[in-house]
Amino acid sequence: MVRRHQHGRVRHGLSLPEVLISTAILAIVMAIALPFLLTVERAWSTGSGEEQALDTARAGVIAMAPQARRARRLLRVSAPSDTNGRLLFETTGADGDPHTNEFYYAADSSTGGLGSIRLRDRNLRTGTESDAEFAGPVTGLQFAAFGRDGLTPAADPWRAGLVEAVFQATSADGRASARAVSAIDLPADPPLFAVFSPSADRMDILNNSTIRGDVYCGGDVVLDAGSAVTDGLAYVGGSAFGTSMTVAPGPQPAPSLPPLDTSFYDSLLAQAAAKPVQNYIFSYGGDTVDFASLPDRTFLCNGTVTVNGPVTLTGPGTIVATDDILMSGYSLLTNGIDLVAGDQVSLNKFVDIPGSPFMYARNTITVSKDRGIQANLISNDYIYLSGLTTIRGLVYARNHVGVAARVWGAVYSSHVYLISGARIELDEGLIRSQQVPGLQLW
Amino acid sequence: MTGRHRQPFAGKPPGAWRRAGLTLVEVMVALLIILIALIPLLTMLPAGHMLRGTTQHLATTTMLAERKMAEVRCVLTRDFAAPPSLQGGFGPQGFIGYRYQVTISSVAGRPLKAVSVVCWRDLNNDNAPSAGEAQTQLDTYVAQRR
Repeated sequence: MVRRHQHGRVRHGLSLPEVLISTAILAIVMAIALPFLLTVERAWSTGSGEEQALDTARAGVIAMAPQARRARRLLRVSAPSDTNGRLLFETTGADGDPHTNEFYYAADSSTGGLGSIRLRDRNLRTGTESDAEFAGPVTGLQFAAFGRDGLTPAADPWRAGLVEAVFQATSADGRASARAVSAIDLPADPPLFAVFSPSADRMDILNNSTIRGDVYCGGDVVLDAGSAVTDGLAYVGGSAFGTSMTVAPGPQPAPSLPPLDTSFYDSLLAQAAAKPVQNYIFSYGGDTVDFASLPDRTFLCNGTVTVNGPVTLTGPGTIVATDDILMSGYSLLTNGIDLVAGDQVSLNKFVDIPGSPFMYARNTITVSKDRGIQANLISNDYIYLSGLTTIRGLVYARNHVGVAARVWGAVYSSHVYLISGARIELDEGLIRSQQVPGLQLW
Repeated sequence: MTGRHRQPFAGKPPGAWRRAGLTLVEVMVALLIILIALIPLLTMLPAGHMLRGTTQHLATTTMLAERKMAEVRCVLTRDFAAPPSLQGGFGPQGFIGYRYQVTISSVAGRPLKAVSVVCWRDLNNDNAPSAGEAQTQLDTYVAQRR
């Protein structure tokens, strides 16, 4: 538009309608673009918050995982649904002492629900404790323990093979949240215990008895003045009485005794029960068993087998008796002879068994005044070891084990007591080399 | 195009000035140019956002693949004859839409297993990693422990 003004100047420009139209067009364009821009901005902001939250959560996971992987034994894992998660484990500290480390979530009410992951470190030898913030800020921490297949939830921390940690975090403005997850694979074979007694209300270690290796008792442990637990920890579910041991908290929930599957032994006993009823007595003067002539090198007896020494039986082979197996008087079982008894096994007075894979009794095993027995002793009821006997192997009884002797191996039973200068030394290599049918300690 | 500059008006006495403004057509053309320039700029915003999302999903798939790898390591160190391949999702961990595939193969003549874990965000629900889906593959060897 051209407009001539009074003073003779010509002004070219937009008229008001043109300006209005231009503005209207611009407004329409902006109106179309604005929601789009707002959506993008919102998404960007949310994405940024999520990223921030994920970074925070990941940072926590990355910091925690290596520390938790050093766990020697897991002691407590909170329920998977608990967002105030806790993970307690025993580990060796930088100072070489046994420590417990506990990761836990501590909410902070002053920050509107934000909290932090804290690490409580306790030196079990000196008792000194520290508690410091480890990671955060986060809004929740969850743990879940899985079995050795990595999939089945595990309640028993000592049967866990994998621990999953889930961190929840929010962005600084609180508008976005994210989760980070990590799995901590635990040592494949945690160390065995020298003594494992999960169901006992009380374990007595008396009369100058010693245990070398880790001990676990579901109840109290009573140690008298001359007795000691050395080169290991006493994991105690109840209270510990006595000074010559380093005490660690027992796991929760309390573990159970590794179960014994007796079907292998039951099958042998059923085969023996199918034979005619007959007792066998092997006495000095040439009595022996020719295992090579027997099916599966197995001597089956529907009754009692008595070995009145001095008698030497040479394996490899298996003696199965539906009733008792009684051995005494300088008898010798060599070259790997297994014993399976439907009632009890009794080894008395200088019996020497240098290399049997196992001996099993449905009821009791008593070993007294014997030279040396290298075998795994497995009983459905109780085992009593006394009188200068040395056992090399695993001693496992479903109900009780009483030890007034020396065991180089381990003792696993619901209830265990040590008296009369008993000595138990963990020999893990020996136990690993001697397989026990129906029993899995790890 | 003449801007809003004052210029002596030819043939007119001094002091007579012509003011040249924009015509509507010029404004419309200018707007059109701005619009054309804006379109790619606007499309870059969601593209950038998508890129950020992809990065975030990649971080998540990497994290989940590491978690799965720890699980496989846990299984193989205890049972070296574990199943040859596994697949599934991460629903129990709260990561809906993410899936994994584990391949375990023996290494001839050596007590080793080659383990490959692929984790991806399964956008098309075909239970297989596809192009355009954020995915992470981790490969390692696990030695027989006993």
